[in-house]
Amino acid sequence: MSRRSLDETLSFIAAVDHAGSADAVLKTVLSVVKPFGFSQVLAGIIPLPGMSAQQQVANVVLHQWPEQWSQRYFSQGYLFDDPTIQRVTRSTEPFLWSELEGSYRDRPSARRIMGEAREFDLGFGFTVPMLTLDGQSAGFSIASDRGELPPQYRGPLQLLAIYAFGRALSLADTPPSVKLTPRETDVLQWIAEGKSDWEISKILHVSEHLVDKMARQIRIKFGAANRTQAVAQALRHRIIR
Amino acid sequence: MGIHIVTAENIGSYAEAMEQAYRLRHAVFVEEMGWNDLRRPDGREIDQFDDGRAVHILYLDGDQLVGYQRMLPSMRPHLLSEVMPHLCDGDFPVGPHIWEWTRYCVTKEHRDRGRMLSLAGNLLLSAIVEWGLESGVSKIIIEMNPIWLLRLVQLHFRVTPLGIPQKAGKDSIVAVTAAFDSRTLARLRDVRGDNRRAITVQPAIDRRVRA
Repeated sequence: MSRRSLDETLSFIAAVDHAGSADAVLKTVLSVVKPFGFSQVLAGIIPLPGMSAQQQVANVVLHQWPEQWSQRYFSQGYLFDDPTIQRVTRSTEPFLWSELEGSYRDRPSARRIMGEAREFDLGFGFTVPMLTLDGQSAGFSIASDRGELPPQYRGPLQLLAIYAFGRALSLADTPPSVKLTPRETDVLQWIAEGKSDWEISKILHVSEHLVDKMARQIRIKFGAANRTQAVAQALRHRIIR
Repeated sequence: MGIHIVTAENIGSYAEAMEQAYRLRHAVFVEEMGWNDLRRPDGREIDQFDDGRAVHILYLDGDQLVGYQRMLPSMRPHLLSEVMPHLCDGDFPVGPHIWEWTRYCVTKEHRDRGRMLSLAGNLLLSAIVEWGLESGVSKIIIEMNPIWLLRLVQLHFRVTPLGIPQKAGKDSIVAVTAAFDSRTLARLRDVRGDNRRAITVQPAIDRRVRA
């Protein structure tokens, strides 16, 4: 069992080392965690209290998470009341979200966040805390609507999380050789500020269809799995602010 | 302030510093971390691996010890092979180019500020890489909490797990090998913001090997 887990972990590490984009890292991660029922991945450096929504998003390095939920989560500042985030900054051990339930029973804000997450099919999660060279806390979460995780898979998933995060972080720190047109930059800036395609189409006097098309083009240019991932990279490298 | 490499060649001139090293090891590993198997009535943590082949790396401020770590050759009994074989799911990594890094400790006053890698931590790691590159060592075995793994990766060590993390008390522990090269050294110096060599004193025999 453990020899096989190790071999599987080593081939995962080799695959992730060759991943050339955050999207490729995500695909490799999902191929491993899908058999356990996990379909969502979010990883990033934990923002410091008081950081703006934009700064929080810039700290994201891997994002395969319900977009509407991320939008609400970051714009409402949920992060600072999120019991999983609090655990990451205090503990070095991976945990299932269900193991935290006792710790926030008396905190309505935390209960509300976990409850709302469940409505976005994030009812069951596993999070791995990490520490960067700069001393920042970081977290890597996988989630699904419900599930179970046999204890013997925690160790392999912890290693997977660390290597995926390490690779994604080094890719995120490499300035992207992305050239956006001024129009695309505008679109991405409005996306970062939480505007819908319809709102952006009114602001820029173009069709909603064109906004959607440009958003897809931007995603492809960044090699990003989704809009939030593209916004995170653009913010990190000050392509938008 | 500087890093001293202490081997059988020169340990005679480090009696007082080694005494401080054994006491720091006891203070950190037994009293702080609660590794009670290592407890000794005289407060000096010394084990069967502290023999003539061990390489002690001391970080000294004048004659005051600030930090310490020990390197053991993988060709001879070491912690992974003798004490923690359950952390290694495959063959033990063995060879003249592979040494085991153990007993890393720093006095309280010189620990990480916040949770950044401290200057003492950086210098001790840099010393391993400098010593390794000059003595034909390119890979170290480490048993550690997996939380430190990302940091080693960010320092351009090529880290490969030897097993799956195991629970040890309330913490996890994993055995890895960490390979390094001149890029690792450049990265460490860059993070430290200082291009100077970390090692200030080493035994003559090491210099002969280098020449």
